[in-house]
Amino acid sequence: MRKYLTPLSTSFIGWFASLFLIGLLFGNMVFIYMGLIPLFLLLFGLLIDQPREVEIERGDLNKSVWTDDELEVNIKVRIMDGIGIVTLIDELPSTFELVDGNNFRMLWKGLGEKELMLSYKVKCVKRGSYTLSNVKWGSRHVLGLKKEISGTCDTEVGLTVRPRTMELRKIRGKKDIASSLFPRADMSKIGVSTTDFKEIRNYQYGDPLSKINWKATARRVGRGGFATPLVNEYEYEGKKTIWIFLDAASSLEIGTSIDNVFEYALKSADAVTRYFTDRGYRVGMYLYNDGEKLFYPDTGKKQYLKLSKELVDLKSYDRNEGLDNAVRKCRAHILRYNPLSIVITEIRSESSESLIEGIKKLSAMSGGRRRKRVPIMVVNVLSHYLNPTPPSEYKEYAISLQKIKHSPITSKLRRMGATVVEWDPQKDKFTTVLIRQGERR
Amino acid sequence: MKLKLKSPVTSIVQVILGTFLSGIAVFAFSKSSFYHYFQTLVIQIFQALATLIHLTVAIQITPLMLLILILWGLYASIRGSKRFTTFLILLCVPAILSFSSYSWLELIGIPIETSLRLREILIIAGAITIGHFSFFYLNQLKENKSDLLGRGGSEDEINECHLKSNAFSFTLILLALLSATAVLAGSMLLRGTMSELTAMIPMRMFVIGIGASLMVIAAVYVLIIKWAT
Repeated sequence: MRKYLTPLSTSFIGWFASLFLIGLLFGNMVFIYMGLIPLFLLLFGLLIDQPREVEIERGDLNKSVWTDDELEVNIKVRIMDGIGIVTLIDELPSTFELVDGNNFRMLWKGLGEKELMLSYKVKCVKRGSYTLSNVKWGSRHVLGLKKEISGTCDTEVGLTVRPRTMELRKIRGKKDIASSLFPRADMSKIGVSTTDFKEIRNYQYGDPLSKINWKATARRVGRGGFATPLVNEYEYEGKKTIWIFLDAASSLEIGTSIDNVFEYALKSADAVTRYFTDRGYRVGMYLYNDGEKLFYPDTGKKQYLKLSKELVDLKSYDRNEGLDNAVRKCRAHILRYNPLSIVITEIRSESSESLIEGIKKLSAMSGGRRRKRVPIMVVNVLSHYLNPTPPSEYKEYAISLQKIKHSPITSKLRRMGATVVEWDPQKDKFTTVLIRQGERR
Repeated sequence: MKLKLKSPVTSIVQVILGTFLSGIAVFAFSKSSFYHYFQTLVIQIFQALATLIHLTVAIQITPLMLLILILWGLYASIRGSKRFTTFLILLCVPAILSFSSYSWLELIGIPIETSLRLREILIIAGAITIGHFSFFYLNQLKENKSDLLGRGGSEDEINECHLKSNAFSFTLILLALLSATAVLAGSMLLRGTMSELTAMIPMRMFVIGIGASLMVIAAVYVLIIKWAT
């Protein structure tokens, strides 16, 4: 019986028993009358059951969303029996932010069947694969005489939150022979022109006359513009390979769980992958400090989705593999493709040695001895303003000291021929930084 | 000490209900002979403490003390104490005891009397008892509300649910009162007939008393087992 009844029921029995016995002992009708009230209350209470049969169904749910997207969750509830208060809890992952409505609901079930639709909106603030677990329900007895009943309904559903891709605009460097790191801007003389239209540009010395777009040129003249002919530019086959080395060390998690260096490193890796795969380059990736995950270089949307999926679920690890070991493991691919290597990390003293060693190895593999500038880019995601402490004079001093501390490492990397891009996510867009870098040369 | 009301509406209902219950409990107490014992005791204590205190002032002290006691109880009950209504029931006990068939207290030299009639004391006892349970549910409501708000529930939703839940609870309490009154009225009506039927039974008071009690307890036990599971 204790399994079903609450201490309150026992207290009601106690009240009845005490008053009834006192009434019998004194031959007092008033006491017996008083004792009958809790007795009847108990009996009526027990006769009424709390809701036991609850059916819950989830409405249509968008199972793949982008970060910061609002997601509407609809729950259809049907309570078949009983009388009492029913609570519903739809537990959310900790990184989901409730925007509208509530995932903890409470409703009164009176006589008859009750059916209703509950909905709320959440914002998915962090990328990852999540599960919206089974909706939990609990029902309380109207007088609190029976123990609370709880249950779950099979409503589990998986959800993928993809990082919102940072749109990288076309990065143009000054026209020169292999002046820019971005292969798009390289003056490649080889390769077969495809039928994929790229852009219309001004005629340059050496362009074949067959490339001139006469209609566009005539329109330009008609508008009174400068009469330089315009030519059609088409994509070339046989694009270069991009190799991304992404640092997945837990030490990159500087900032909050949502806004940290690691998350920005992932975002930039995703943006770079998308940018190059969209333009037909082969993109390969190696996640170092994270169990040696290697993705062979490939082209197209399929490759982007494959890498993006990996980035969605990627967690940081507390391993110390280092870039030098990562380069050693990817040696065969680097020698074969001679790619543009992009290292995404945060330059820090403790890993500087392996970073310098890794760049040295990469440089050697890319013919660094013969070239002033090697096809290596180090994206340094700065953590200065990601620290959640409020801004203060001391914080600024600490940032300055950190910059001074890391400056020799950056200089050394630059002297080795690598391009170091310093990106402060709180201050600049990734594209802005890359454009600035392109203009510098 | 700062009085911070968790649910103002519930607290106001509690104050009104508490004042009413306190009034009838004090009324019942003042109409019993026990009040005079209490008054004498209070006067003796105060005169012992301050011999110069005037008798009329000392007489006024007793209701004043009762008033202070009740105000304190009311405050405690708003804060969630469950002993206030039990205290009010105890205040009514002397008046109720004066309607006993077996005056065990008189045997030990404490005669208890009241100027109230049976009907009046039944109304007071019924009101105090349902007041006790209503008070209990009002307190529970406040606790539940805090708990649910802490779990992230919407206040409007909680208030709506509690309003409906309380309406249902109070209906059940009133139904219990009516049922108990019906049983009492039925037993009073059948008293004459029953006494004729049971006149033949030797030591009928004990036989019927114990037998009926055992039967009631067994019936209650069976019903609880059945309905609870």
